[in-house]
Amino acid sequence: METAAVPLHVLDTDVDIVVSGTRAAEFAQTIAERWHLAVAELAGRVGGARESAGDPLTVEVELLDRAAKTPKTDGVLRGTDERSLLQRLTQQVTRAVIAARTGDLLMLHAGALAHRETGAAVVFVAPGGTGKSTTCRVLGPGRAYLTDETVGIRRDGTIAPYLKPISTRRTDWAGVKDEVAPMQLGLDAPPVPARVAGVLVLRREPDPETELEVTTLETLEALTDIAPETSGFMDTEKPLTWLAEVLESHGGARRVTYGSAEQLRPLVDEICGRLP
Amino acid sequence: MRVRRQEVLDEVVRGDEAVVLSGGQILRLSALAHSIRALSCQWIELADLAGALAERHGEPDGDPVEALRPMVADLASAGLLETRE
Repeated sequence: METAAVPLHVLDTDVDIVVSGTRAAEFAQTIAERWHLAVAELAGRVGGARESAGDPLTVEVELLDRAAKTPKTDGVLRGTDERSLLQRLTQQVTRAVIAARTGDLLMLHAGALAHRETGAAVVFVAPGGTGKSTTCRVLGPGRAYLTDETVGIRRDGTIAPYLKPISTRRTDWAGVKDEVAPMQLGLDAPPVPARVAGVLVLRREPDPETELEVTTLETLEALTDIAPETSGFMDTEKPLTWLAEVLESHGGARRVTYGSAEQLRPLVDEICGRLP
Repeated sequence: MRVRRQEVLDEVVRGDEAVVLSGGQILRLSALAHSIRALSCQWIELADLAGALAERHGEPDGDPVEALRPMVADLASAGLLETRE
């Protein structure tokens, strides 16, 4: 069987995507294009990139010929639909690196963008499907893209980039998200190491005309708001203390109720304009 | 009844309130709940605890010990306090 590999470097972790199937080389090329900022050879040169904290992880994926029989459940991602397989691959990579980095990184379910010269990063925490990717798409051009899914904060306050494709909902794709190459949206990797400069907790309302409302959260309220939007939190040493330190060293968190990503621009400008 | 606080995995205290991590849950503690835990690092009789709380937070309506029992029960069921008859 034909196989091809795509080596990625994400969240301080090497991940080898092993692709098999009749069109393995072609599908591997597609994966490499969508994950272009995370391809290991280039990702190692991204600002703030660090060597892998452990052995490389392996994620196996097989694009099946339509005539293939139902495969065994052996941990290999399989499917006949390339779009769906790309989405499941993203989810699988995310799960694998989160499991690998639990305890090392404070991982927030958030997107992040940074100033390209100073590395001052705005972190926007939000549940799935409520604005992280859209905010990256709308406000990311001209800034450094860090992630639209999981922000990994190191003990020294810098952010481990997770330069995945932008997961984009399409109304005509029956629930499958399009994994779009960041480059296609004008997004680029950070040239300098990024540090948290401010944290927003996003609450997107269905009405795009919703008036912007910004509330400063005191630390305890911010902890109870943000803790449910974390990964590996319970298996991290003193995670509440760590999160409180991150928040308080950057003026605390603000809860933002909004209707469209463009409304967030002044806040993102202000935070990315801070000296990290 | 005597009570003693249970250890938690992490705790952040700001002002007279706290957020704790215990049993896989993140819980916010009111000033009174936080005081109960702060005053029960060693086994303490409920009556003594009620007296100490009254000094900090003022006398409750009715019997202080009876007023304290439901809160102790809540904290015990959340794994934040242990009790002994």
